Amino acid sequence: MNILILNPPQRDNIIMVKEGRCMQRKGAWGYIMSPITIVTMGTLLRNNGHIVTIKDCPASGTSFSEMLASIALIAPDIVYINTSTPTIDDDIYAAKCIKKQNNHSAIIVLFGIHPSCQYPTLLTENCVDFCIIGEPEYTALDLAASIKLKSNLNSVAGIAFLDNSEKLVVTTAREPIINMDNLPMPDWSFIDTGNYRLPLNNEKFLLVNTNRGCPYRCTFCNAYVYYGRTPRRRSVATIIQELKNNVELFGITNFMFWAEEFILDKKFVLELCHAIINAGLSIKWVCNSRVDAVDPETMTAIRRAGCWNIAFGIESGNQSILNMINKKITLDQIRHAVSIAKNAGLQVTGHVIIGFPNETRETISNTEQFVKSLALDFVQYYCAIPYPGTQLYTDAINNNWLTTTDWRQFEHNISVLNYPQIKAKEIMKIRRQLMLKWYLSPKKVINTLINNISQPSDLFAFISKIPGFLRWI
Amino acid sequence: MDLTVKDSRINWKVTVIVPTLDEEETIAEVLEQVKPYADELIVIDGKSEDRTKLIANEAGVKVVTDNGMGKGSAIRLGLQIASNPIVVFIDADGSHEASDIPKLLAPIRQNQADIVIGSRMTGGSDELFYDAAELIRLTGSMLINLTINYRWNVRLSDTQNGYRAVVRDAGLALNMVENSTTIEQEMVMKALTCGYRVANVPSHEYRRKGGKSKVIVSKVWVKYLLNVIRHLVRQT
Repeated sequence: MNILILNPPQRDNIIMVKEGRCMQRKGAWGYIMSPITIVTMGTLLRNNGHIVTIKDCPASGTSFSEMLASIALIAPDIVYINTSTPTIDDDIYAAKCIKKQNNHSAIIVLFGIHPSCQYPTLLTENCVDFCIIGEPEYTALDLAASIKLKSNLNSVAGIAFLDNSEKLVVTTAREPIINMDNLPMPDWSFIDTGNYRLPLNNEKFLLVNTNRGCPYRCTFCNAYVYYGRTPRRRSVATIIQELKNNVELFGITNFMFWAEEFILDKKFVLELCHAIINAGLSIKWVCNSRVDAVDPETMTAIRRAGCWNIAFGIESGNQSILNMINKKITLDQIRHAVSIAKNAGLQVTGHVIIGFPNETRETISNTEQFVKSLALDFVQYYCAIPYPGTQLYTDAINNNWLTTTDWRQFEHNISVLNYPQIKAKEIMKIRRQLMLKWYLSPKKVINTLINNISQPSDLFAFISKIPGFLRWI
Repeated sequence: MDLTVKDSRINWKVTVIVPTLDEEETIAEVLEQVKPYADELIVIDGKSEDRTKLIANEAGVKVVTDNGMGKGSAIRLGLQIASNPIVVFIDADGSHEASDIPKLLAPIRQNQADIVIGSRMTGGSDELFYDAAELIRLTGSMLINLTINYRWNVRLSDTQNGYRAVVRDAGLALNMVENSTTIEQEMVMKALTCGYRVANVPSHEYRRKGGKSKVIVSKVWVKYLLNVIRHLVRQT
């Protein structure tokens, strides 16, 4: 089959990162993540005999019309479209245009967390043929095979579609990929790796998937929709091989270890770090972790193996809010984790969310004071977003908190939740103030520059990213 | 996988650590006084050559021998081997009032502080005023206090006293490196940098009841000064 895997652009030229649970503007971090799901999926399909083209339009700066023109030439049999909640309108629009210009010959399949939850509505758009529910790689492969052989679609696990009588069919749920080593290593030659660069030093970087699945049940998180609650990981040998390939074939030495939480299994992390050092890999990488998984031994090990920045989900500086969102961490644990990581020589990033239910001006002020007291290098404040699939979404619907049903507004810098005690507008205003206060502090600016900028061209690249960042704030 | 949140600080138990080096004259009395306040009591001995370890063993107290590098290494080892969330350090020379332990614990259990140091400035001291060396020591320690207070915008009256209660995880998070008594100010400065809350409570310091002090001001002042400067310029 002639397959196109497509990441459509936005009509309003905002560049969005769409990678599973991660749905944010390029401006938020000043980078576009290398699209690991798309490329892994493409590699898997190609290895199974399909002709695959990948188009990551936001990254390559391809406009809508350019995209359509090139698709007309490709004339794909199936188009897999990567989607996210805030971009879903544009993703659907892309699907419509493709359908129209290719005389309805292309089969349109949506994947991502949004269609995994919202497939009943999305399938009523007559341009959408299938929605993939959950982890997409093998579902995409089975679906392509089924379409090719014209076999019974009901036997493809993990999809939703409308049958000939316009009746919604949801096939059996797809089992998570237990042996993750079966997934092929992403072949990055599908895309131009030059489009994916780190914000501060402008070096190329790639995502490397280490593990999937998170057993926790935070009320604001939609990650389980994609990867489920069973933690699974790739073997150390496979990850090392992939890192080696990336270094040797693509000359890239910067990585982001992509996982819901990288440090879920301490033994695995220590083994991996050991293997990176033993393999003589001179790489720099970043990762994330829950604060309760942090200890000095692990932090020292990851630092030695090339980690320079670790990100923690701090979420709130008020214990009762942390309890309410079911984060299962304490303020003490947050402080210990940040201190341990800092003292091990790592830069630390904190992700903070304001505007949860029960949030008041006082709890937000608790959060501000708490975050200020931590030795963090980078902080991102987000508005709580009720993404479909989350407990927060259900609560928002039941309590009538939503200010809008326009999915475009479901972005981290916008609050769509009006509570009796605090309104969406105020949450947005406070968030903006908190961001400005943090990043306009001269001390922070100087520290960031000293720690991350080593040559004049870096500084230029860094400055060029400031306007996008300010727009995101 | 443990998905539970740790219980509240009110119920936190206490490990008391007594670092020793040749304290045979006072150790028995100190251990006797401390016992009622400790859920766990450990003597960390820096390779004493007198009967200190023997006496502690006889008193039924767990004795661990460290590498003998100094008080700093004893404190770091103490934090590692303590099995309770709060660790209290008390000197073995009898100069500290064991009945002050509840005062040290209160701010931690009430979640108002992570490190609580007994203050000789508000609690008084029998020792600080005897001779010229003590005057220098007092002046130096006041200057260090002032520096810390202005640098980290706190108001502490004593940052040098070894008599202190520490949240174990906080102490471990600091990754302290000092081997000697400079660890006491290292702990305060690193803790403040990391955003931990440091507090003082009044505690009276008695005159050393026996044995000899191992801190000779004329030999160590440079070390203290350099240590403060290093932390002042440290980024984090």
